[in-house]
Amino acid sequence: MTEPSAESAEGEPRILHTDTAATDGLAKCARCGATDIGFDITSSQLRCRFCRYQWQTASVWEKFGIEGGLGQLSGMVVGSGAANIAADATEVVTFKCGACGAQVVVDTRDATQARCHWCRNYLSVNQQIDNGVIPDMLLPFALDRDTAVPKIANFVGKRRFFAHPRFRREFSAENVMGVYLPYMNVDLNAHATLRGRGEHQLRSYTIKRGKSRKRVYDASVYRITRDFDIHINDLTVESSQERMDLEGSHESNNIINAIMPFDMNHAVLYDANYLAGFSSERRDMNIAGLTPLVETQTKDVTRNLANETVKYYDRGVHWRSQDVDLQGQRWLSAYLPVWLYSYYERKSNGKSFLHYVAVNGRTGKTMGSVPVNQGRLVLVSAAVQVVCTALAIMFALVV
Amino acid sequence: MLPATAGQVLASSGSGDVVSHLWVVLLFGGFAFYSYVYMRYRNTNKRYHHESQTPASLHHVRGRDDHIRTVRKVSNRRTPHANNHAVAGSRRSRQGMDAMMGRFQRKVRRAIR
Repeated sequence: MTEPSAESAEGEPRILHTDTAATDGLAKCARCGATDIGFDITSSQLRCRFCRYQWQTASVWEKFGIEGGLGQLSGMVVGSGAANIAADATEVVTFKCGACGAQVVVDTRDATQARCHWCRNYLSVNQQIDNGVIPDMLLPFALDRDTAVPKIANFVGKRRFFAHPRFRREFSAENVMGVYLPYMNVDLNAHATLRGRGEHQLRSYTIKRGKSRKRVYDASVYRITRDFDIHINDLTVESSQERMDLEGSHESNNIINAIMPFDMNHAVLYDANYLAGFSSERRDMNIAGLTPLVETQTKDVTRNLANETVKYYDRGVHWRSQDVDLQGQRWLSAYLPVWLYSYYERKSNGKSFLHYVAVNGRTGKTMGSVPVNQGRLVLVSAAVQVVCTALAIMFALVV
Repeated sequence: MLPATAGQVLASSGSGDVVSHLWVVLLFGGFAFYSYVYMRYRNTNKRYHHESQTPASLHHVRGRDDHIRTVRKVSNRRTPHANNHAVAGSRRSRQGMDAMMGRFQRKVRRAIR
């Protein structure tokens, strides 16, 4: 078990070095020494394209002994892949090919692998650098393209009648892409104290005042306090500025958010060969930028769990104070798999919008945004309104 | 049958007055249909429910409940400012057409209930 670094100063986070076993350059098959390695989705393992030997990198939880035991988590532990992105970050990495000695340049803005132009061996960037492109862990795809395409086609197929006609003409589920998106995975050990007022209904009845009738309620009011330890496992948030924006002003990022959760317990150590054949987006947010959101979501989880202890108060609870003391937190950066179909809609008013249909690359959960044929929808809605108005008038006359 | 006087209890039950609200719902039928189809196609209200789907557990729970008072004949069905189900970290917009339709759908559901 690799313990987090004990060298941190008072108040500074302890670093968990997740790339100690990683090597840059030639990543060879253990059996035959070839470097042409791909990812086999069916077995969810890396596979040598020469001898077909299969393997996978170690589970990140087992490797560092960090599965379970959240009650013992104290202070702040940060994976080395979640370290702050340097302003003058290294983008271009130069290798000396271990096979022929040639200089090979890898531009990490585009990829973390390159092929030596002399001997055709593959070279990988696996050790973390200060631009956030190499995460602590990765969840390999469990669903292949042949499974994702019908899911997307089926999702859109159920939404054809009111779909925009140009979308119906141009849609092709075959244009789906496998993408690794950047997230932060946070484990928390906290102590919470909630104080507030709850109300329990005693009875409800109708009273008459003049000509009107009114339903009223009798209730008991209590002052309540709840105090407990809370362990939060795998709180996952997007770590890309673009994906954090769920407001939906120019793209439907909420769709990608809606296909969560991912089964983080199957996360493995990062290896650049997992990305072969897929694209990826890199992390561009640091822990400091994500902390306010994580703290807010921690309180949401706390409030939701506390509801189990206040079921008696059927009229609701007003929490006046909520103190959550984070006693331990662990941040690890991750690449998580998504099958993504995108459609760029150009509207008549000159604006544009990017619609997504996304499939969770692990669980198969599908969600999407389909552009609407407003003209047809307004017309049908107007017809429905006419019918409903007629029914309402008849109903009001009868009643 | 005795005539009811002012403030007299006419009925005591837990059920809502569905029938008398149905015609109100019908008056907004067109808008309800539009919002249902729009939401089904665009799914703008969909998000990850981190508050309930994040694995979490409570330990060493301690509580204290002190009765303060009894209130009678209040018109609110729920306590004012109840926030035990509030979600602050969803990052969803509270403005615009999508949020408006989401709020309208919730009001219709409450009226029917």
